[in-house]
Amino acid sequence: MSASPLLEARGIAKRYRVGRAVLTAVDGVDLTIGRGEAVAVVGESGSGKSTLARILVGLEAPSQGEVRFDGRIVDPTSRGSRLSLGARVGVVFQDPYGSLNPRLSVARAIEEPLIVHRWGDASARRRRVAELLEAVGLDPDLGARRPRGLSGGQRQRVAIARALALDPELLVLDEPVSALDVSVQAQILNLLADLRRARTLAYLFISHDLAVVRQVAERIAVMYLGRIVEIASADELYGAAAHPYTLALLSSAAEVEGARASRIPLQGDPPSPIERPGGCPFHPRCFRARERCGREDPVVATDGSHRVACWYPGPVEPEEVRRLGPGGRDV
Amino acid sequence: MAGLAEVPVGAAVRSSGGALRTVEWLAAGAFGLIVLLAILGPLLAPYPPEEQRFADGVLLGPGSPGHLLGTDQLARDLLSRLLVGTRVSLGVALAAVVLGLGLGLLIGGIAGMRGGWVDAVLMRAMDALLAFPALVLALVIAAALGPSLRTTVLAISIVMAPGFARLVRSLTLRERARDYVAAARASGASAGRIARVHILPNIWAPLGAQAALAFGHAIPAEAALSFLGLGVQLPDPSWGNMISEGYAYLSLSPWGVVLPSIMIVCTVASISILADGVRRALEV
Repeated sequence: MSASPLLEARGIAKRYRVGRAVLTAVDGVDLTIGRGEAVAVVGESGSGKSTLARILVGLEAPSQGEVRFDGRIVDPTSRGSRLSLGARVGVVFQDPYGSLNPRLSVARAIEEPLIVHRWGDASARRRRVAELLEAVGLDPDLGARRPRGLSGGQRQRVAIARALALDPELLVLDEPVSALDVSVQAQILNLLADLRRARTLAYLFISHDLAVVRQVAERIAVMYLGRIVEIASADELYGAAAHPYTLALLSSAAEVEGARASRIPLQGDPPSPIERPGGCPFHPRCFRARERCGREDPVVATDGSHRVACWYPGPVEPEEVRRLGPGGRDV
Repeated sequence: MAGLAEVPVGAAVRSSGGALRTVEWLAAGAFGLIVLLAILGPLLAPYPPEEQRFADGVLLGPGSPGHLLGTDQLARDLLSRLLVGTRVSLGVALAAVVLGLGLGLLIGGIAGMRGGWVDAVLMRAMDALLAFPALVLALVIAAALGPSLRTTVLAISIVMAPGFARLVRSLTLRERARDYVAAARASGASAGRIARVHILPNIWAPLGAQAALAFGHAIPAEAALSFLGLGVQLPDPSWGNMISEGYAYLSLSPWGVVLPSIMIVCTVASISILADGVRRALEV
């Protein structure tokens, strides 16, 4: 075991030119994932979480910053770097209907990374594919089928089997259950939990849903407009969240679960990543925003492993509950 | 002909989905027959296409004794020339489409896979080719390289290449955005492997339909070049140069023009209808 973390991202930024404007999808993200650790990144659509995932697996180059996997720099432009990273990182995408090539049989799709990495001979690969199908809870006879005849949940299991083919150390899961029915979601989440028990496997779990993340993650990063606004262990985040945005997300998640929590409003829609607000990017929607928030970028307050980018962090105060009213203010 | 009148047109238009309509089945049959004639033509021809039989007479009409479709101004059997010409014309069109498709795959594939300035340069070059009227471009190429059968194929294929290249590029870009391509890339697959395993097998269906339509354009293109003397050279018969020769004697006997023209119209109509049907059937 070397001392460096499994994955380390430093100062990652990604900007796209949109006509004359610049879209900032990711704005200075630091993130580390330890060996065997399950980390989740949570945020609304447009928060830059998927772009961050694509950068971390070497599908896109960051505009700034660097990604290191096991100490070595990830370079998307180098085939050698992609090959060596590909052997150790598996990727699962959101849409189970778009992530499998319709022309390849299930077995062939799972075999594909093995072929790319010249893993074993044909019969060894066949055994490996059967093993993988079993590991994700699918009948090995399914291997001969085309994805066309499979359900969304089955397809997502196939995608997970493909990601596991080379026995990776990290699985990057980009919204792996959000396209699935709720009942199927639970099965896939259970499968992901089981897989981790059986091997040393780190997860980077991307989701917009705090309720889903709770079942998987040990550490959670909350992203807003391309930045990580709060990061803490799962227990700490669910018990003592300090960023107003996290508090708002938690209260809406609690509402979905039917708990009678005080509702914390999110005002308006997330701003465009092209016209980012000055100061704290969250201040136009924040129930706690003061004059300073629109002026100055918040400094990151650190309490052990709990980091918050906010001028006025802390749990919801009774005074705030009174001010916001019992049902909160409707947006 | 009575059979044709009975085709329920309304019903054919209403039917949609994965199956071919009645008209399209008829077109498929007609096109199959023409292809069969092209393959078997020289075997079926009663005379060698160059043989002059002045004893039988020149410019005979159809139904003349010994000559089912008559003879031309040099007393050659029109049926024999038409049959051999079918093979030449279809062969030129097929070769031109295959070559044009190959060029399109190469250029459009590279543009779509590489992107960036490579894409920009290649596609601007294709746009420049497209800016010329197709026939003028083909004429210039054929004239520059000297008229021959090979030049005809080359000229038509170069005219077709930009259309194929643009289609290949846009289909490639569509496929490249798929998550399974991202998964393959993340696993370390090479660009060549991604093109071969993940992109090509998913774009051949629309490409095939486009190729069939292009075939329908290649037939009159060959005819036009040959009519102008820059295509298939005499004494090899092709539909185009048959029309060209017969044109001079049009006032004496129309058959030298009418018969190859009928063949061209039937071929283009049947392949076009069939290509549309196949494309629609594949899209569903």
